Amino acid sequence: MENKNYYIHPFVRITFLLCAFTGSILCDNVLIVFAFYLTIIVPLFFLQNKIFTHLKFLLLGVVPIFLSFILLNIIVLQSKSGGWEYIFERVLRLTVYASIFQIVLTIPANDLFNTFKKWGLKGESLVTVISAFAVWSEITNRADKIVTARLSKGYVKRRNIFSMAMQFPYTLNPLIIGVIRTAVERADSWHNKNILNLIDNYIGTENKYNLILNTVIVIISISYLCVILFLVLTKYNFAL
Amino acid sequence: MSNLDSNQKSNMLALAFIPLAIAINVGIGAIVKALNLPLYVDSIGTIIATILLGWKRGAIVGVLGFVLTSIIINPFAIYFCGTQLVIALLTHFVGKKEMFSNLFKTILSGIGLGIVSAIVSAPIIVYLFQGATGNGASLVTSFFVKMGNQIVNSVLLSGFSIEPIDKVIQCILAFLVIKGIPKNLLENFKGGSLKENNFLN
Amino acid sequence: MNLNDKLIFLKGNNFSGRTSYFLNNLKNSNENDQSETTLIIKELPVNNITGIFSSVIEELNLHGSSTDMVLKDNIFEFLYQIGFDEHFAKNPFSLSGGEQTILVLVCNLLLQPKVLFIDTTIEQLNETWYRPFFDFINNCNTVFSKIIVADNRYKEYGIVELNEFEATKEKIEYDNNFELPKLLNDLTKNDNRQTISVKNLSFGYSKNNSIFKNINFDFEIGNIYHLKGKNGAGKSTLAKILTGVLKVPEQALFVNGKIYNSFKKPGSLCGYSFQNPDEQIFSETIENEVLPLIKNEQSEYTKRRNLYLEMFGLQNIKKKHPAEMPFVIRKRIALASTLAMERQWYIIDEPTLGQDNNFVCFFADLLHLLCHNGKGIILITHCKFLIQKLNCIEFVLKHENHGYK
Repeated sequence: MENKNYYIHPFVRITFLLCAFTGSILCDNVLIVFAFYLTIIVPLFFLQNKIFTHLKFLLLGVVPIFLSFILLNIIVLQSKSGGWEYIFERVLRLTVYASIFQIVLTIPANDLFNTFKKWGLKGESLVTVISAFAVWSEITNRADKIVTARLSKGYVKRRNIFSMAMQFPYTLNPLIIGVIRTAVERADSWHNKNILNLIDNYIGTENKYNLILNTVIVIISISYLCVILFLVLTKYNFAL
Repeated sequence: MSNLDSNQKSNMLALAFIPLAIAINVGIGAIVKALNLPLYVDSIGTIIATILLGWKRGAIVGVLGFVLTSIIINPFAIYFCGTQLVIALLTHFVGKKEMFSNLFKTILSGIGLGIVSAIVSAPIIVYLFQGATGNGASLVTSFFVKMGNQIVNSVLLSGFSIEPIDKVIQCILAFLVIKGIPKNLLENFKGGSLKENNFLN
Repeated sequence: MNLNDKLIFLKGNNFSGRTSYFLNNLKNSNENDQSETTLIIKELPVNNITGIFSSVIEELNLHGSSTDMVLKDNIFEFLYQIGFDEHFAKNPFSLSGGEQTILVLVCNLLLQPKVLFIDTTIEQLNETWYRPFFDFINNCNTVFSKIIVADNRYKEYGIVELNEFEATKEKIEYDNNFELPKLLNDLTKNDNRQTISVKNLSFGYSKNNSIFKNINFDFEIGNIYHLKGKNGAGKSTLAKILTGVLKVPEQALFVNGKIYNSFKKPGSLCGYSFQNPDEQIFSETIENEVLPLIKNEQSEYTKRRNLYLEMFGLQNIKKKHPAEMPFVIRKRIALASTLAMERQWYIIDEPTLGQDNNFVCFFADLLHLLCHNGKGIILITHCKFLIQKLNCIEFVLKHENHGYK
């Protein structure tokens, strides 16, 4: 699904993380941060084909927080601790920091290994981190089958939201017993295969990183940081 | 030689189990988040991993689980990684003191875990979110603010009223789940507090 | 005994001790020589997949990272020959049992072990892959591993020129003799000829990806249907629709000519037994798993539980935890609990996994009897031995044109 041309190089990711993060924290003009979010971060989500994940976050994560800010500051405290402007800034900053983090760690599945290896992980930590990403579909697969089993055994007499929610504790047990059996057998086979050795010898699939895209990201992130440093420093001098 | 070998094997088991426990943590947290309950139920994996494998592995499960949640589900989770570390530490400490050996003690440890995690996450909620975390808990916080409390106190009060319930539920679930695991699978796990809490007989 | 051959098939029924005998033998020889590597593939291929990567090709490359180049080329050529390359980009956990088996087998070969022990996993391979795999091992000069297979069905595939080896018998812990009790005849007889009809069924998980397009068929009670089709053809989707896990349009599913909404009452029409028993075991004792213990049980109900426990050889271990049992027994428990539910229809996926011919004969007789007593059975299996013993109606699902014969 991922377009092969839009892989971001691991080092570019790190540069972007550092520059964007420090820049956004130092910047005291919320409009600049907002502009950065709209012009750089959102397009990056587009390029990575993860815009829907991000939209879901905006809808299910940001909107509730925004509402609870309104509830607390406008309705309950009647703007004593800060009005609308304050709320916008707070929510925006929280969102931008989290989004920077999200976009940096949104790594295409077949580039995971390369990225974490370049970031200096090896051996056990490398295995832990990549398999934490990969194991997701294994668990959903299994949970799906367990729910199917409970349904087909007729344990849910009539289907409604309540009866489905009541299935939750019952599915937990077989899920975890299954997971533990898998862990025990997998540990055995990892031990026999000497997995740590294999991982350290493995080179990973070769992905072509788009030169233009990566250079552009580096240039943008560094210049963003520079502009903000410049702004902050001049302001500091001015105040002196 | 054989001692070293068994050490290696239990190490391997931890390595194989951690990612799976993370997925359970994330998965359950996602279900609860989707239902928008005023609970979190996002540390069952952490608690189970800590009891099975000790606090270090439990902490890895908790923290990595939150990092993963923040990538695929809700980026705000990243701000609360520290709480997971504390949960793992405390679960291990409490477990070593045989506090998961029966249902009553498990409930007590759940309350303790809840109070501590409320205290630990309060500074983050106050300074970063001003009490507004966007879930059921922030409704409770607003209620306490409305009653005339300071934000800091309201966040703590809402934490104290929700977190213990949440953690008691999780501890009971973890207790029941571990009780239901057959012994021949459990005895492979070392480093946690299984023996202290009589899960092996 | 001569263990110098490249390929050895172990003879013996379940619990005849062939596996433990061999593993002990290997352990002893390994203690003398530390450099010998032995790899073991257990019953469930899923647990042998490393689970580190999310695509098949990366899994293969990981195992092949230090393989001899010629062997690696040979193995990949073999994979292309059997058409496995179409799965390279998929997630290993989304593959079907047979595909996972081939993946695991090949991965272990890539590690070039001295000895490769393959437990009954191999039974999940279908005809088009079973024979080619062993031909490949026999003809390939670069595979230096000694391969030991414990399999109950190899003869079905005409592999007779290979070395066979009979392990010495040990004591049998579990009941491995089966007999159909006469009691079963007293069980509820049902004479009405119920039919499930599916009319103009279209189904897909998303708009772009439709699995069924306007398919029609009738299943009549008293018959055994052998459901065939490639991975992705919709075998398990069909099973999920009939059991009521998935929702289908209202005018699609009929029972005896009347619209039947299976989605509202899931599990009321069909019982469904999975390939992997671990996904459907919920209780903490075997008897509770076979039929849940309830208050004020009627004698009919208790009798039914005891009957199935007795039939599947579980009576002596009924108080034990099902998850503690070996795979073979867990599979039997899952089958017993599905059949004990007393539904009109049963969908049974790979019932013979890990089971010896002794059990397969018994199971075939049982299915016959159930059919005779007014049940309908839909079977998904690769076991030729079972199919030969039954009078099946073949039903083929095709992904593209959805024809069926």
